[in-house]
Amino acid sequence: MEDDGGTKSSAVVRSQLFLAEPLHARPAGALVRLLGACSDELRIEMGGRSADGRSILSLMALGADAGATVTVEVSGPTALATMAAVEHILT
Amino acid sequence: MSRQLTGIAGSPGAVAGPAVIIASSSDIRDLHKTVTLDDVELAITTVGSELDRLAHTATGEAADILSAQAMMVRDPALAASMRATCQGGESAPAAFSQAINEFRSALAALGGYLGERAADLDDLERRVLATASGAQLDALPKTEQPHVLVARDLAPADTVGLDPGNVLAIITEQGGRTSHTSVVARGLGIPAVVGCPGALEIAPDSLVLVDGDEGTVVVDPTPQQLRSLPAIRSEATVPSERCATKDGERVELLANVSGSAEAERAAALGAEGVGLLRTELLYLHRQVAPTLEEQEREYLAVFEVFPTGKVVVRTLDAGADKPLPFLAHDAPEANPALGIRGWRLDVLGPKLFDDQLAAIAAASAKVNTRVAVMAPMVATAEEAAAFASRARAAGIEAAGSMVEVPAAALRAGQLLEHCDFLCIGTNDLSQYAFAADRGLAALSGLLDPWQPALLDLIRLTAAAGEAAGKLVSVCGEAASDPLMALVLVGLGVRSLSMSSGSLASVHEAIGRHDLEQCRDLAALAVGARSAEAGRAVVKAKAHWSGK
Repeated sequence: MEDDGGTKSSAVVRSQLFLAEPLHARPAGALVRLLGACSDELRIEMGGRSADGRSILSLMALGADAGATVTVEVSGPTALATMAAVEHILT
Repeated sequence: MSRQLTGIAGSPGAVAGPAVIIASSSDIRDLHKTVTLDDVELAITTVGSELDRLAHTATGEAADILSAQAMMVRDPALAASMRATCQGGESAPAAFSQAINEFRSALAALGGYLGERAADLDDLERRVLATASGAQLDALPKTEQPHVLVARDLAPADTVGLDPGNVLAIITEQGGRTSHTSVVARGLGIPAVVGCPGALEIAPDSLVLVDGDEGTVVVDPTPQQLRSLPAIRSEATVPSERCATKDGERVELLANVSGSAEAERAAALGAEGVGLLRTELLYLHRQVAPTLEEQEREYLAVFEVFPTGKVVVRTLDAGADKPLPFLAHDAPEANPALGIRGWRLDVLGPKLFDDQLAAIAAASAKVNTRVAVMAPMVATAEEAAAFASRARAAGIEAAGSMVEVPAAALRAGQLLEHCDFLCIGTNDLSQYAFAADRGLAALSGLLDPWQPALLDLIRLTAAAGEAAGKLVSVCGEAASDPLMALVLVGLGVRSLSMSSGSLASVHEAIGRHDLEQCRDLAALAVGARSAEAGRAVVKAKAHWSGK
């Protein structure tokens, strides 16, 4: 995992989520806003492709539809809380 | 010779009017070879801020689209791709176009909704390159005449400035059912035909008939074709005089709105101001509470629509049925309608409402609009007093309470010792007086605003207002029914707030009756044995046969 600059409490959380709605502009934008408010990193993987959670265009370009399974990985000092918020947005 | 074009039904309704064409923008891609990477990066920041600003003046889906566009233009992946291409020797504008194009192709390949977002990227490319090279963008036509707007496509940022009072309909050559033109047109109630080949060949000022239900456009229609129009929107009469009874008793007519676009529409349809500004939209679907500045901008945008009128802001009306992530309800409530909602949320901490009141006060200080605030779900005089003192401490002079809980109606006189006005929310007052869930269709008979027991509660509240010399208003569906409006005036209500589509008919119905007639109708409705009987007798006696 990536060096986070020495913060001791850093963690990595992975989770598989079933999307409740397609990953369109609204949920993708909610993820970007969420990450803008913390220093965690987020990656979403689907079908061998991966998108940075800070890039709304990469998230949308995954073309993830409702019901799709995606792998979400959050790393950083508040990873658990961020993952809970991601689940709230996507499921 | 009439000529028909066929496109996609973007927004329902049919209308005819003169065409105004927006010329397609000149190709700016190869305008300035001297534009540097710094110019483009600065332009990205500028365009991002501009889109944020536009998003704050828009509401609903249009606001979502604009803030998504702001995020797209600031997307770090876009900037990284541009810098990499630039280092490879490309000019900055070409590198930016190439970066945009990568994502455009990826989205276009997905089709459907995501494919239509490719148009958002076209608009971003155009905006950023124009800003970087100092070129002017095409703006909406500045015409005061009602017209049908014809364009290649409308970008979200273009449609924010649309004046729904003047734009009768929209025709675009590109776009689909879910493109922003359709979304915005539906939000504003303007008919639209999108994805219509040949639209740009329509001659300026020619008469066009737009059918947004069928997705067809007729250029130079025949008189027969025009007569087939169900109703021409421009014929909707907007009363020029202030509303009053036949013998001159003033009745204030206001609108219920959720944002500045709806406020504009209300003003165009003759509202004197806003009697109920709902603020929930600002808070829903958010992880953190909106900032003071964001709230202030949103409120200011509504106030500015009525520079000399009145706007009554209802503080946040949320509860456990729509939990907000930043407000911790301890446990799920079995009966959210009877739980910690509306003003009761203050028990979770004073910051929520102190912030909201401060933002309203700050926006109010910048305009001459008469701004008032009111709290939802007030049940006792103590609650009314607490809200009024907090509002005044924030610097807002006029503070009132909603009357939605029967206890508040029964003790309206005591509430008015602390409040400047009361506003009856008839929908919730019915729900709580009849113990009938507003969402249950099977109970709709109990929720009928003609129920005599509901009218008793309104009568008590209005009488307390007359005794105290303070205003009692009604917002809610009851006020949009012209017959019920007569009854409310007869009960002593002098301010009605409704959805703006009903303003004209309520205005006309009140103008046909004098106050004594309204009082007689009110006595008949209150004295009736049932809701049906009350409605029937008032309908028979009133000089009103409209809808």
